[in-house]
Formats: sequence, structure tokens, C-alpha cells
Amino acid sequence: MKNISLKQAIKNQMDGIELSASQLDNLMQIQESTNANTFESAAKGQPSKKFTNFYAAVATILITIAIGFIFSISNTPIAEKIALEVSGNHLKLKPLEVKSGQLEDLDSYFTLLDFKLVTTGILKNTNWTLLGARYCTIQGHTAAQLRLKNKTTGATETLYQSPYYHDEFGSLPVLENNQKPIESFAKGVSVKIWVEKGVLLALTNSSEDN
Amino acid sequence: MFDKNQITTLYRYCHVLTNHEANAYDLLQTALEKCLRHPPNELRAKMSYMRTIIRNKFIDQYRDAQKIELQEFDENIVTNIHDELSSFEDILISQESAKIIWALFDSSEREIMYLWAIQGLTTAEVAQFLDIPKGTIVSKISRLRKKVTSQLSTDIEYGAL
Repeated sequence: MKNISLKQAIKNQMDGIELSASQLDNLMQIQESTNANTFESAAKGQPSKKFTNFYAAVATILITIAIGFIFSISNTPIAEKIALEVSGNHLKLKPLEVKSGQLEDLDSYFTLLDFKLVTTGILKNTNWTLLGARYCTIQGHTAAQLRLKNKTTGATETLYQSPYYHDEFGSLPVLENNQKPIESFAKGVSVKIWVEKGVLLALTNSSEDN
Repeated sequence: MFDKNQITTLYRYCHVLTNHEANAYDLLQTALEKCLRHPPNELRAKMSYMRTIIRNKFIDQYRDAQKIELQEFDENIVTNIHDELSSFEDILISQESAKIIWALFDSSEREIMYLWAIQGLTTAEVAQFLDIPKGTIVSKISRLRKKVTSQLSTDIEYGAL
């Protein structure tokens, strides 16, 4: 085998690491969707002292508003908090850590979860295909998010499963008690939330046709 | 805004840290979103700014999940070599052996080698970028050199070179 310098070998090693075309396009789109002018203008230099004072005044006002916002958040019903967190995760569509259509495969992947994944209704529905899953957190607890695709409409939805602690989450509808899931809206996404077999589940419904 | 070449360069840095394709992409996307929300003051320094965000995000996300391979540093190693990393310049290796050695490195070791080989930083500059004492870097380089030479010895023994 031909010997080269270690530095060149590392460079060659790095050259072999490439994003896929779709990943690259996605990252370019993220940039384009952000206001490029804001980025460029913010990067043009340090603000003058006059503007610094202005920003300080604005910051004071914002901090005051933020304190009020945090106070209001703390009083927000848990379902709304979960819906907000879940819809945000759903819209990002981060890459799957494990790709499989079998729940057993996902169960064996999620070794850090302290609960077993629940085979809820949508996972038994033959009109939905399980694409895979990844770790996430719900209200600070390690959870699993499972991505599913509707065979008819092509819509992609996310099912979240998290440990359920009554003291922390309060009373949520329990499927075994014939209680209907709570439906909450956040960021234009409908989220159904319920408890099944002692596990907290949240299912997005970003398409009205689903 | 970052062009495709810059995005690829940053992805490689993410890959160096995570050693995992999906995690690297995830890390890059998260860092990019943060960078777009809080752009740097100096546009010229945007790559360096992004690398810093990536590194901080990596530490935040993976240290708690114990995904970072942390090792204790030996601060007592003293050396008189001017630039410790330059001692790697003379090492000749096959691409296959480099691949094996790369797999033996932990995330911090890969990062040091990346900063040296790709970014062209000296030991002092690496220490400055990583914001850790130079003695710590020297300790890491010493460990790195042992790993590299050990693998090279194995290659020679088994005729891989």
C-alpha cells in the first residue's frame, strides 16, 4: 500500500464525508427561509454607542415582558405545553436515528427509555406505515418519537411516547377508562394527547385530511 | 449565508465530533438554526463562529447523554518541543491504516487532529480555540502519538505497510 503523510490521509478521510443531496438542499432551504437581509445586516459591524443605549432600553423592556411570559407559561395547561413542544419537534422533521417498519426493532433501539413502547391504534392501522424513530424529550423527560406515513394521503405524522407522571402532568385522559384524547393546537398543528398503558402519548395531525 | 462548500466543511467538523452521520447532520442543523437566529457581528468570522456554536451544542447535547468519550487529562506532561503537533508532519501512513487509527480516536482526539490537519492550526491555536490549557493539549497529543505509533508498529508487524 502506498504511504502518504498523516495530514494528507486525514484530508482524504475528510473528503469522503459528504452530505446527501437532499440534506444539503434542506440546509440551504433553512437559510433561504430565514431573512437573509437580517443576517447580512446584523453581520456588518458593531452597533454605535447610541444604538447600544437603545438596545439596552429595548432589552430592559423585553426582560420585563419575558418575566411576564415565563409567569404566564407556568400557568399554561400541561396539554398546551406538550402540544407546543411536540408540534415544534414535528415541524423540524429531524433525521431518524433508526429506520424500521417494525416496532420490535425500535423497542430494541431505545435502550435509554424507562418504559416500553405502546402499540397504540395507529401503529396497528394498516393504512399507516412506520418509517422509524429517534430520541427526543417531552417536558424534560427522555422520550421516543415515531414517524409514520399515511399510505393514502402521503401525510407524515409523529407519534410521541413519554413516561407519564401523574404528579407532574396532572390528569390526562386515560384510554383504558374510555376517555377521549385531549386535542390541542400549536403552530398550526393539531396534537392529540392521552395516556395509554401508563405511557403518555401525543400524536400530531398536521393535515386536516387525516 | 453559507454556501454549499462551507456547509460541507461544517458538516465534516460535526462528523469529526460525533463520528455518526445522523448525529452530525442533526448537530449541524441545530447549530445553523441558532446561527441564523443570532448572526455573528463580523461576517468574515462566520465560519469560526459556527464552529464555536457547533462545539458548544455538541458538548451540551452529548455530554449529558454520555455520548462524549471523556478522558482524564494528564496535566503533568512537560515538553520542550516548540509545536507538538508538528511532530506528526513526518509520519507516513497508508490510507487504510489512517482509517483504522481514526476509529481508535475519541471525539476530542479527532477534533485536535482535524484542527491540525484541516484547519492548519498549531498547538497553541488549538488550545486557544478549544479554550483549554496548552498543557492539556500537549497531554492529548502525547496520547495521540502513542496511538498512532502503536498502530503503525502493528501494521509493520503484520505487513500492512
